[in-house]
Amino acid sequence: MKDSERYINALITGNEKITKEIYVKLFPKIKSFVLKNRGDSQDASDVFHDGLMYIIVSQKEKRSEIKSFEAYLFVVCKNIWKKTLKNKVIKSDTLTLEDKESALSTFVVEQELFDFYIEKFDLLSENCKEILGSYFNGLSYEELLTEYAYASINTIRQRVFKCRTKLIKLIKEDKLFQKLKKWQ
Amino acid sequence: MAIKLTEQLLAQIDGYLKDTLSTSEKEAFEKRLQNEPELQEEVRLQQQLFDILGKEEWHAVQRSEYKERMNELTSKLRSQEYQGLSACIRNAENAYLEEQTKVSPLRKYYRYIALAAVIIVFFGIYFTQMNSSYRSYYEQYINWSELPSFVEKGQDQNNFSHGETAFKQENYKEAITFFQQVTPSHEFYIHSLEYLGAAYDLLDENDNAITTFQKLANVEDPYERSKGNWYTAMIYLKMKNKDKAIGILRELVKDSENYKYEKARGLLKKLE
Repeated sequence: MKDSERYINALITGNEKITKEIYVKLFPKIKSFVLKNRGDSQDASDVFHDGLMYIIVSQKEKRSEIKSFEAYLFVVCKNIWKKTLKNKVIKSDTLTLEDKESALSTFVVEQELFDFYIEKFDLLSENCKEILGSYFNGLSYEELLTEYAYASINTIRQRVFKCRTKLIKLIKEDKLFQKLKKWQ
Repeated sequence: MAIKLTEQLLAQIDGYLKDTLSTSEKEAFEKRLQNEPELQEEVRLQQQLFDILGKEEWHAVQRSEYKERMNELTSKLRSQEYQGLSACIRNAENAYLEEQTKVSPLRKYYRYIALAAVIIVFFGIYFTQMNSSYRSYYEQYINWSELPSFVEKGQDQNNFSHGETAFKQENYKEAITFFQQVTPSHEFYIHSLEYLGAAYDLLDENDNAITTFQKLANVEDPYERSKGNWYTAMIYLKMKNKDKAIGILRELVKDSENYKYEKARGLLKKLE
């Protein structure tokens, strides 16, 4: 059995021994990431716990193949930490005390959206991914032109439009999108 | 019927999201938004794409959105089953942390080798240069050429970069004047303290070196603080002030996250 399958099985069945193995193997990396980004040991420990909980929730609902457990958990934990840092800034003016479960369920929804869009984005051609990635990152058509050596602004604009329409189509075709919409 | 997403409409949505529309354009667009729920959906989708694929921002969802889903998740997470799974993770974590604080058998083995090496080194030093044995620890552990470099080509020159350049050219006096002018708000302030202390040390101005490293030992970041203390201990060893060095090392070995934790433990054993 592959590591990732073994780990997921352990998490959803509550196998403490193998869960500890996950800590041995992956916690130091997450911890050092959090410590490097304005967090402390307690933050690291919460982030890791919530990251594993997210995997439990999503995998119990719909088992899907995760190629690299390590890479996936790292992305999830990084997102949790990004969100926590963002909340820390906002909390100073609108104080909303949330209990742990509500906070985690908000994150689950956000991470689901994240996973969903990334999955669809990955289906695009390499060229589309590159150009759209830069466009969504805020680059103007002029900047794209210098970066990707297209003939004219017009060609690049058409290219962005085409890739973007493709992505939107992929997203809207998916049943999950309809479900997400219903949930709104 | 769904809206047709033309290039023009997407451009309008982008303009609205990036806030680059003129006042009248914005007003007109907002009016449309109010009346067309479908357009609202398109705007939301585009906003999510910008947030998620643009990589910079985390796309935060309001609790008022996806209400049904959130309620479902919250009650699920509160259920006994999920609380149990959460507790299992916490237990595994505790077991892991406990193990971390114990010394692993392998490390024990290393310690014996280290100890044997230390004994050999110790006797070697003891017979040849009895007096300078403390100083030899300092020489063994301090290597200022390992200090990180922050000078880049084409970068703006400032007190820090001038100081580092002078330091690299072994003009320590000049380096000191530059590093002294680096203010606490500077992004490399912490590193300027390292360089400043090192420069004093190299000029054998030991008291100044200690004062500087003690400044480092009082910054916010606990790891950097432990660095300041480690350097201070090294200067005390160089000055053959064994008691002061031991006092600081004893503090350093209290937390395994500290700078040179393993070395501090080894050294403490040798000194005590």
